[in-house]
Amino acid sequence: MIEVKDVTKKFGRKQVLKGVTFTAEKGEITCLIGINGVGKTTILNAIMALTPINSGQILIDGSAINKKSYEKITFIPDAITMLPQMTIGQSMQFMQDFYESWNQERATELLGFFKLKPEEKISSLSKGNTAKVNLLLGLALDVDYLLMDEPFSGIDIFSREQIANVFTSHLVEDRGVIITTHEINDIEHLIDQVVLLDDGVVVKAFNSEEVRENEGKSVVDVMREVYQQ
Amino acid sequence: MNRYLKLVNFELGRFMKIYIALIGITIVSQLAAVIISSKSYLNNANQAIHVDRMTIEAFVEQYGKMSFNNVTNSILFFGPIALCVVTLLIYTLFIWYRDWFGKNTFIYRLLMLPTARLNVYFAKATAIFLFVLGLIALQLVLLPVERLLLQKMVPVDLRLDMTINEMIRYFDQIGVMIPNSFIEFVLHYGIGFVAVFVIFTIIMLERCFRLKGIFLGIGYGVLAFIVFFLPVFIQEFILFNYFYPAEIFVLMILTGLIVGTGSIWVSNYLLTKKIRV
Amino acid sequence: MQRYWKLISLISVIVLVIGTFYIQSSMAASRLPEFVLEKVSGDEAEIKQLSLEANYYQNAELGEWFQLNNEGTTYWNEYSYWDRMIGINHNAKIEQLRQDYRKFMRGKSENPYSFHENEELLVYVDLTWDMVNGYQPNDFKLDIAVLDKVSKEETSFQAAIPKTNQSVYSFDVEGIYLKNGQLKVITRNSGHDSQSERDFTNYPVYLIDIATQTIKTENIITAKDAEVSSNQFQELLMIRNKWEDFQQPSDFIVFEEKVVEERMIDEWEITFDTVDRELFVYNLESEDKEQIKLPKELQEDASAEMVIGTTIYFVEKSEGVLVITSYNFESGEIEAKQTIAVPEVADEQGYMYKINDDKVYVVPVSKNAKQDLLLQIVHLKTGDTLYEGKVTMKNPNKQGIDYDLDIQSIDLDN
Repeated sequence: MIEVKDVTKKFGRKQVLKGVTFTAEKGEITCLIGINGVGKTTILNAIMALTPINSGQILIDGSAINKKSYEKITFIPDAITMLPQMTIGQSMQFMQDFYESWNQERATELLGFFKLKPEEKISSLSKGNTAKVNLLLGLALDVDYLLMDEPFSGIDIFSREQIANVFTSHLVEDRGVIITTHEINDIEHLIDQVVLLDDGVVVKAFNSEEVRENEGKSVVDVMREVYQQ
Repeated sequence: MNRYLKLVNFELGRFMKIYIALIGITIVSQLAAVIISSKSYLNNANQAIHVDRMTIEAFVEQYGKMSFNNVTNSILFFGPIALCVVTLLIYTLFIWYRDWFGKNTFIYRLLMLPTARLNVYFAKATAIFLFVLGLIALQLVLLPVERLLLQKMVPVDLRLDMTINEMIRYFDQIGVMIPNSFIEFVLHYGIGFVAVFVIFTIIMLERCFRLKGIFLGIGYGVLAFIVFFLPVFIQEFILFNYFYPAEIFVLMILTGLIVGTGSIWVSNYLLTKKIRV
Repeated sequence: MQRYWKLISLISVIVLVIGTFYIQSSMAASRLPEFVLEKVSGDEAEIKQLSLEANYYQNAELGEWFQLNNEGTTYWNEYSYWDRMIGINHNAKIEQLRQDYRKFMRGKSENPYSFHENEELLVYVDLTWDMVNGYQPNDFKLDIAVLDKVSKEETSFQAAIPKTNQSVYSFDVEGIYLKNGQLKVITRNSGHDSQSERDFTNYPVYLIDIATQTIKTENIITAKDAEVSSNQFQELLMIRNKWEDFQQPSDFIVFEEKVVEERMIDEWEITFDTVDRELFVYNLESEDKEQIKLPKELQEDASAEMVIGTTIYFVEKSEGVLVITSYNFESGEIEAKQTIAVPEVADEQGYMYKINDDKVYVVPVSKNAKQDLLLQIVHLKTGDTLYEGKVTMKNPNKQGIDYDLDIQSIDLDN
């Protein structure tokens, strides 16, 4: 379980996070929703200790993040985390060199799934393929938690479908996933928990299925209610 | 192989192309320096002896023998050394900034490696260090080759042969880089290593606090400088000649170690607690 | 493993090349030749304390500094790093004091003239000043420290020197005199006197009252008032004595006052001729000044070089010979006169000498591969040649090469 407790964060004078609290369970897909600039990426960065927080606490399975945590939790940012001059194969080799939790079998499987060629250079990839490589590098790690920042933004429709398929496959089974997006439509049917952010706080956190069953509302309906108030 | 060494190897790979280019430029340019200065000396000699009817002795008396000093004074000889120095200085900054800037965000990967972030820091420092020492080794290999070339070109009557040690000592610029004794070598490069840590710490401050970090970084640099030279400042301005030379030496080793470990400590703190992508 | 070739190969090259370089340069015998002092005659013990500083040139531009003593040659780069760092050739007596009184010696200058030592006391005097306007030294003070060697008690204080309105170029401590509980500091002061609009040099002697930590009296030794024309100037020189050997300072100081005339030879050259010279002795105990009446034979070319006790050594240099006359100013007699033949040196570079105690050390200032360099030690009273030796190259395989040797100084570690 990832616990984000009362986290605040300032950029200069601007208070971006004003006490954000939510939890993300293993085996569930949690979606952070909010308009751009609301601090979704900052939350993911903060969970990965890639940016300092001003106050609050973030726990992963009950303990603060440390160097060993990176074998258990990984982050797929919206830009690729490998050098442009590397090939896909070299990137995979790099991951294998440094991560014990790297699963080469799964990596090979994903390579086939995304129809990528290992000898291709990252700098020569299309935007969609770059996103796929990025995804591959994260998904091929045997981690408990997976953080994804806007995996669908700026990507062509076919790549989107392929990526969306990942979420229903065994590739994310049993893992805890936190995903941020400002376009909910593509993945609404995939997500379990929704955390709605506005003005630096969590305005509503709910289970999308429960809302749909009990109140007959879609996630977008709830968003519209919240943001139009 | 542990992750630190893997990282060092990886950092070496990232600079390898430029590094090999530097090596190539140095070899070509320095050999050219030998050839050109030998040729021009020999032309003078030919002119004097065959045209102006000077004896060899008189020529040597007037112009001196051709020695390796004629070569080292050539811009083709020390130019590539200066180029290497400047390139490595710039790379000391670039080795960090290249991970933040550009389309890729490799810094995410580096910071998310399942290893102490300080290993990334040490790996980059080690890479710089190895690049420097590698170039020093290159110069040490090149010197005898260049001497051989000079001996092949200039007849024995007109040249003054030098040992490698003399070639180094009479050329101040490499004299600093290849000091006389191994102890000095360790001291010079120890100070160099500490300086790299200080620069890295300044970069870390800037990366953590951005604009404010630049000022903090400058402040840190000044502080490091003052701390390192504190024994000298005390000697010169407060307790005139209070310390004996041996004591100053020991104190400066101490302050050097303080600056070095202090920089590592501050960097470690910043990397684990304050860094942002 | 082969993926790490960059790391492995770079480290291997570095270790191999730099390692080989330093191992080889520490093992390999120096290419530079070894010089030795080869005895021709006399007693080897005479050169125990002696060392020559010299430069070796194989080619005009490349000089190699070395020190030569009875143990052989040490080139600058053959000294250990430690020696080179803390410096070689420290004054032996100062070194000894630093060992014996490490705490007292802290922050003190290395100038042997600033120290005086007897059985009970170790006295140190230095001059300090403040800068006015950043460049004009002013407010001179004597920095005095006294160590009681028995009780280990340290006293230190500053005594202000009476102000004058002369502008000072230099002000130095020349020696310390301590007798019957009286501490006197001899200084040399040169500057410009704005009233007479002349440069001056004088020697103030300060009597220090340790109890009150003040200067009790000031006695300024000056040249006598002499009418000099516009192309002439007066000079007052203190003849070198053994005050560097601060355990045995003398009761007397001998001064030479000269009138020097400036003469233009042509546009580019000026010579200075001594037109008048007088010597006088200053008795530090009685503070009396007494003129020395020199015998005729010493009145002209011989220059007063050194005073030891009551003997003044006059030196006359002429081609191939060095004439040293010992004159006792108390008895007014010439004690001895030695003529030392100095072997002619081809390039006429001359020779250098050093007088110490009753001995003179003479050596030509340069040699080349074909010449001998003869070191002579002659007793100034008896005229005996105590030692004669040659500086020769030890490694015969190097003898084919052409070289030059320049002697820079004769050092005596006493």
